[in-house]
Amino acid sequence: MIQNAFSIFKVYQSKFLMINQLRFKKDQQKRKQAFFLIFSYIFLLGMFSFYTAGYVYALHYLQLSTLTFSYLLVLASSFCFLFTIYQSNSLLFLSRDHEQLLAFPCTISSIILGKLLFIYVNQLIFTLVITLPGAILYLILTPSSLVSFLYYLIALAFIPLIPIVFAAALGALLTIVTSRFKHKTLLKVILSFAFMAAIFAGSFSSANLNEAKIIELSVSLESKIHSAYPLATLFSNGIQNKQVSSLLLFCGLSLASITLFTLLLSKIYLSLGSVLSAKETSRKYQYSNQKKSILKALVGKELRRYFSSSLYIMNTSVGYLMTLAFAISVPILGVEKLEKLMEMQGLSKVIVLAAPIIIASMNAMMPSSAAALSLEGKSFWIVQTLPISSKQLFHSKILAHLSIAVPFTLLSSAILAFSLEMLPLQRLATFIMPLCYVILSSYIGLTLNIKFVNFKWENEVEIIKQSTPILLMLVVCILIVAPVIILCINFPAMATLIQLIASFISLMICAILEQKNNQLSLSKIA
Amino acid sequence: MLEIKQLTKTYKGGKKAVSDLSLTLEPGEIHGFIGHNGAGKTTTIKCFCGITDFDSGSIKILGHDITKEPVLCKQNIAYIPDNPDLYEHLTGMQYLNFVADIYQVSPEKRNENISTFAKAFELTDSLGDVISSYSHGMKQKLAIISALIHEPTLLVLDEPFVGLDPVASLTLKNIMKQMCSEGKSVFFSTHVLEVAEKLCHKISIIKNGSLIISGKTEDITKNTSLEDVFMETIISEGSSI
Repeated sequence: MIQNAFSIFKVYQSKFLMINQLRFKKDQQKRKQAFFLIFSYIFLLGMFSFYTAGYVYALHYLQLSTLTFSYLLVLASSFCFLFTIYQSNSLLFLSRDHEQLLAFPCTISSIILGKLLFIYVNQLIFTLVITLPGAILYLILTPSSLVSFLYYLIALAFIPLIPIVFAAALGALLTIVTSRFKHKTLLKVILSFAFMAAIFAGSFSSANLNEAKIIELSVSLESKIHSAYPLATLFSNGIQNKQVSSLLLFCGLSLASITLFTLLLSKIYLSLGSVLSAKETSRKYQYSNQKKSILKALVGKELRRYFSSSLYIMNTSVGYLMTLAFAISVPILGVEKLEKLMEMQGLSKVIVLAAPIIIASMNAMMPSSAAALSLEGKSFWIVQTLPISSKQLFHSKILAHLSIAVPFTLLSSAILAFSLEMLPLQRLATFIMPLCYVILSSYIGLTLNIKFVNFKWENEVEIIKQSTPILLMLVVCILIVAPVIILCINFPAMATLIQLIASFISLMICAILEQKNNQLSLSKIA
Repeated sequence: MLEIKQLTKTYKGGKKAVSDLSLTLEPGEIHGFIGHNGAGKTTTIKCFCGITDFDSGSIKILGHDITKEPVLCKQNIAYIPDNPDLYEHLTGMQYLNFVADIYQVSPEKRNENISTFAKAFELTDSLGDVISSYSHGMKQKLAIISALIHEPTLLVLDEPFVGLDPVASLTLKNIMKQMCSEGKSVFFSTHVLEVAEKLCHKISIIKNGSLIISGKTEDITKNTSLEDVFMETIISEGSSI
């Protein structure tokens, strides 16, 4: 069983890391793609680990070092949970090789174990990269904690197990519950967002504490972490207090949970797979009585693709919803109350100046166009053989993105522009900059997707969450927003002018990308 | 109808898929394209359907160059791949309407064609279902219907009979013959030599990217079968298969 599970794991891992592509294909494009993928991962993980290390330092500064390992555990566990819940269903039940694997003479447990092993190894790597710098910094700051650090290294291997089990179980449960409803994609998106909002609300309530309050409430903060994730108590006792029994219990419970999950899942794997992959059939259809324009037909196709995938919707719209929630909170709570709540003097002035940047950066982060071309997948032959130009195809992808992003952006802009006291030019910038940045991110996303297109995917998670254009888009978003932030901080009196100039430059870049992309022949995209 | 001159296509790794291939297809002709696996059939087809670019040579469809006027060429052709991966999230009817919109087919004409061909391929009852619930054969049928919806002048099919049930195969053969009688042309690749022999006016045999034989079916087979000709050609050429 272990051997079969390991073989399945090896196949998945080699595909994920593009090992064979790099070893056996003399394709420079693929090598370049792998390079940028690795670069993006390093950049983003580097930022995460920098943030973690900073937080660990802050805890040390506030004399709350005892919370360090609990914090690292909660951070790593949340990370594993959120990433697994996105991909577990597609990987466990809906991968293209699902039936092929079931036909092999190996036990169902070994198939599940192989797939879980793949998730585990990758989450372990991320856990290691994100938390290890923080743990090393803790060791440097508290040299007497060498034993705790060594215990932490041992426990590290067990951290991702329970979050993976919970995420996989919850992901399957959400899909089973929503599969009974007509608008299951929408319902799944709503439930997932509700779940994430609950997590966000929980973390926000603990983020409102200032330095004095944190010190005052250090005990309650610790109990908050421990009540949010009960295993943190065992973890903390095992590592911080060097209780070997607690450490062993933590490791044992983690191992037991994954073993139990694998065994239970293997009992219902076939029937669960059937439920999850079941397709609704309907004999109702209508003949069309109208002819759409080519562009309208293409945009319609794009939007149908978008709304058919809950993962696609969630990944791209989380920024819009967060911005909208923030914008709505301003008139509802009032700037003065927000100032008190966040304990930030002069927040109203900052919001007025930063509103265009906040909306622009959040809404430009994840354009659907960064995945839209790759998501054509093996069906790309259809658009290649249809009598359409590359310009029409690319425009349809950009327009589909804008038809979703622009209403959210304008709504957020309108709420902030009219609920805050602004000068007319500032009000204009609150509309113009986010709009221009949304258009820019749409063009950059599409350009990156053309450059690093991948039609040979087994699972849409590979494109929507893990592909080179998506990861590079995050990096690019930071790069296009950071100069504006830096300039606005240094020249606050000219902030609005800077934002308007940045908007103009972004439109110029769009024009260049438009010209460059449209010269491409569809037969050259592969 | 179709004119391919000295077509050469090399893959990124350096492997030559098609080498100096020339071929013509006249109006009212059914042309069979045969060859062993990896001979270059699909690559050739993909080149003149505008899916893949090529290194040298020229391809003209109804006098239009595929590299210079791809949209104009594609308006006249329809392509059905060997393994039709369609938009799984759409229903059969949504997919057909999408294709009809792209070809700007009027509602009357599209509804008439959808109704006729869906009935002929026994797919009428499934048009309201999402494509992801279709079997391989049903997807193949839907791809054929979508290819016929705009009444193309040149129909290009890659292994069209794989996955089709006997009734659907017969229906497709009849449609091919009907198209030819209307002065349109059909070009298809196949491994089923009996079908090619009975159906095609002309046959081309490709091996390792080069055209070995091309001509009228009766001239190629003479007193023997296409299977014998194919085997003799492949073996006598010092095959690497």
